[in-house]
Amino acid sequence: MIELRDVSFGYTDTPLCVAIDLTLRRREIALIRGRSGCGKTSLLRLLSRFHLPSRGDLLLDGRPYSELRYEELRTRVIYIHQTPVMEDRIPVLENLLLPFTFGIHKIREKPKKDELEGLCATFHLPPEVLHREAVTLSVGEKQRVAIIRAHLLQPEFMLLDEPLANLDDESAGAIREWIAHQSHANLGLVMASHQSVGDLARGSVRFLEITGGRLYERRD
Amino acid sequence: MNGVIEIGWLQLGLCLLFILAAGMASIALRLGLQRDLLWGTVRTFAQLFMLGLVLKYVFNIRIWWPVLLIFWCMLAFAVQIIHGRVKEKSVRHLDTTFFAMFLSFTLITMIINGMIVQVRPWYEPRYFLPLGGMVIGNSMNAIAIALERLFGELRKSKDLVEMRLTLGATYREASADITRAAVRAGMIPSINAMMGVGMVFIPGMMTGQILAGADVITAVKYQIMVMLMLVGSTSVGSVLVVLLSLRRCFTRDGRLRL
Repeated sequence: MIELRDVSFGYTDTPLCVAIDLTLRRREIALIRGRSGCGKTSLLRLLSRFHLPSRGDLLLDGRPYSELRYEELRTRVIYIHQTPVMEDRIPVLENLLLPFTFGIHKIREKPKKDELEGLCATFHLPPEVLHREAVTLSVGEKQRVAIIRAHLLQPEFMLLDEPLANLDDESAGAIREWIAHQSHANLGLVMASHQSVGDLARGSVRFLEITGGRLYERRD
Repeated sequence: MNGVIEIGWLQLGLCLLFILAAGMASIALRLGLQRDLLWGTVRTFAQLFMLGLVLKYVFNIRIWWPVLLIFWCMLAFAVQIIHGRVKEKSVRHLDTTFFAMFLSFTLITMIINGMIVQVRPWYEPRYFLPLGGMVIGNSMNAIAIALERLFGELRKSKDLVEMRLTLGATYREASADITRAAVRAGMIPSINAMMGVGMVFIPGMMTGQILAGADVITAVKYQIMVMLMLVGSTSVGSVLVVLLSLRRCFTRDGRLRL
């Protein structure tokens, strides 16, 4: 559970958004909407501590962010960039296993090949993709690989920044399908998006909107 | 023949013909270098004669601390030059540069004088200052190169570093490849120098010793020692400055400062 208590953020002289009180839970899908530049990305970066609030506190399961080691926090709350970043010159497979070389993940068991191929299938990616250099992937393919990479670390929350922007229909379709299934998984999804995410899981999505420097929850 | 042939004042004056030639080229081709040539010549004369006067006095010092003090003054000038060369505004690096250079260069100079050449006393200024000066002069570039590479690569690979951070990497893990590239960049020139030495030119120090009438083999041994000592000081210096400065590039909660 992530709690925001009276959080304000923005840049030194111009606050983007003020006085946010919000609780985000696992098994929930939250969709943040708002005009571009209103602070959607900053809010996501705030949740993964790449941005600091100018006021207020963030807590993960009751513990203030400032008390958590940043490696741990970012393993439990994973932020995925709008333009996914990969190690370009190495195969997708090694990109997926990269986090397992970090100290904090060394105790984890590396995923087996079948598991990785299964995940590829879930995202409509052929198993051969694992052996291609990341630089050869399209944006849509990269976005899907980035989600798989995060998924392998079994985070509590995933923060997706415009996950469907600029994607071809096939990639967008595969990601929509996966998102729709997440209301059954033990994962909290927070997405920034200025477009509709489709007819996914009616009723299970929370709509948050940033407008005029405030965050509102809408019931539609 | 023993000792050096003295250069007469008149003969030294004749060297000004070289400057005259350069000046004529500058005028003929409109290079605009006349002022710099003139000023450079004056400074060369003044600075070197002043150095000579100071050295004449300094070489008679028989107490250890003034010698170290002079060495550290030389070091401080080098730090200042390096700090001016590395143009990075968002990360403070004056103190890390100073610390890295101070520690590695003092250590190497003391080892060279005390243990290798075995000068007695160890601070004998006739050895300590020229050898220490060579360490500083030749290794300060390594520090600047390593720092420039560190900051440059971090800026260039900002997204990549941040991506690794989003997946739970520590700041060191997130920038491991950049750290390696920076330290390598600092070390490589002194390693390459070992490859070319003696093939392309007779190194300056050896030239000096040979002209001064030293045995050639003695001069060779000194030159080898200098080459190896420079590898040592550039390595220790580059590692220290990169590791210390890397920390500065990140906040304590793992955000990139650049």
